[in-house]
Amino acid sequence: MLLFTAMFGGLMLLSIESRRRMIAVLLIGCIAILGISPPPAQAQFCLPCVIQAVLATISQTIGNWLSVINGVVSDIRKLYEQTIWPISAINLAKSQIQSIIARFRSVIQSIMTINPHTATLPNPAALENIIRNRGTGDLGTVPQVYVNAFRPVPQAGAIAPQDRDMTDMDDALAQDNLMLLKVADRAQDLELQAADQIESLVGNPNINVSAPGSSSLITAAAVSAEIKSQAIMQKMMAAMLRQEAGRVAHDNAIRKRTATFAGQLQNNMTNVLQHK
Amino acid sequence: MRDQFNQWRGRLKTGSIHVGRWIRRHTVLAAVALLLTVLISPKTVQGQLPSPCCAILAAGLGTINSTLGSVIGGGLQAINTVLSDISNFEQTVVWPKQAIAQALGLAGQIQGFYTQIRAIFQIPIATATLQNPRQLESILLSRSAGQIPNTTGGYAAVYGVVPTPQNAPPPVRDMIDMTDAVAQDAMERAIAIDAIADQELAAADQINTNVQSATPGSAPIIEAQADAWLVRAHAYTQSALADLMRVRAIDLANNGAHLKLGSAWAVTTQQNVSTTLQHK
Repeated sequence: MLLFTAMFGGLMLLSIESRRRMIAVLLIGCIAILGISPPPAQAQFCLPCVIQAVLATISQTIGNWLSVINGVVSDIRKLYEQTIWPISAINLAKSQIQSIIARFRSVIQSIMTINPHTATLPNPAALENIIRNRGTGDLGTVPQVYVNAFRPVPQAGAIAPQDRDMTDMDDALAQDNLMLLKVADRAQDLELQAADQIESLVGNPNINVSAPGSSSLITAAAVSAEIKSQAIMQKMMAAMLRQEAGRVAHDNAIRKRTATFAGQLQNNMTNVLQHK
Repeated sequence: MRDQFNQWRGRLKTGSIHVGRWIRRHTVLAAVALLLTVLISPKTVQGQLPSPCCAILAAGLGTINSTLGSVIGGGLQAINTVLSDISNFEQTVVWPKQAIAQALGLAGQIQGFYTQIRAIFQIPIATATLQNPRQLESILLSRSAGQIPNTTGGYAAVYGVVPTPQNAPPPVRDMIDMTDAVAQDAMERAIAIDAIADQELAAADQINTNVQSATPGSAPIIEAQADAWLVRAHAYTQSALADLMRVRAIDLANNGAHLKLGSAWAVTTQQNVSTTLQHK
């Protein structure tokens, strides 16, 4: 074929006389180059060797790595099931919680039901009853019951104006705190209910009710409740501060008046003696 | 023989001349014919009989396939079994969805309790009846830091001011002024603590709301913030306790001062009486 093309092309080259022939000669040259260009040669390789190498890679390298991974994952499972979250330990913790609930909750509740009432006369008994009933529905009746027990502020003219003011202030601080303590009592009851619910939920033996993973949520909720309890404690402390401050201020006001009276007495006596 | 060769050469030459002449006359036609010849000439094809190379390849691929199945497939299956066990354990023992839902529900219930508590703390408890005490009481119960500067005026209206130097000796004035100061400070601190407690209740509400949309993984983050708030709350409680202790300390100091001043006055009186008697 190549020989035929070369001879044919040679004859045509001899007969170049026009542009058409020149094109024809170039065309033939291209075909000839196409014809004589070498086909892609197949490399010489050892197929069984390659297959053997692939098999070795699969069974040794990848197989070994899979064995290692399997070992690690198995260790993790063992760690989870036997060290971190063994079901026996979870159940033990819950049974311990239940044990503490059984041992202490009802005892404490029964202790707190002891509500001393020791007043003997009707008015003090009524006040004692209302300030210890742990309810907030009767807050509005506290002032009247208080006045029944401690009497109202004297009418103007029956007492010095400053004493009247101080008496009213003392009464107000005392009544405010007695009312606030009723609110605080109710808050404590609700806090105790919240604490009981938290404890009961955490100690529930059903894994679908309480689990190690859900305890973080319960803890977060409990801590937020603790903040609120601390805020209520602060409100009570603030009330106590007001009360103590009022008491000290009252004593100090008497001291001021005593000092003033003493000063006036001294001046009066000096004047009297000077007149003599 | 030589003549015969010359004869063949002459014929070949003549034929070539003829062919060359024909090609010269029909150049394009000749080129097209040549092109067609090249294009339609048959290519080398592989026969249908099996090659030994293919047999080796097929056997090798079969072995690779079975090795993949046993080594990699088996290994992956073992890993999958362990991972499935872990997943099952985590879903049924560590983080069961129902338990998480119960915990989130509990956060909502706690919120409910404290909503009630907040509501009852909003009930007004002011009971003073006269003008000055009522004004001071409204300042003290305001739970507003903005009212703190008004405490001094309200306090003085009810409890009076420090006596003038003409009316009281310096030790008594000092005692009175110190006692007034600590009483007013305590009242102002009480207003501040009330206001802070309200802020803490609001923050705790917000934290509790955040807990209700949290997951077991994010809950410790929220808990950490709640713990920080708890530390802060303890600090404020201690601050209130400190002021309470100051009030009581000053009260105790007043008791001591009374004894000191009483004894001093007793000595002075004794001296005065002695002097008077000596003059007589």
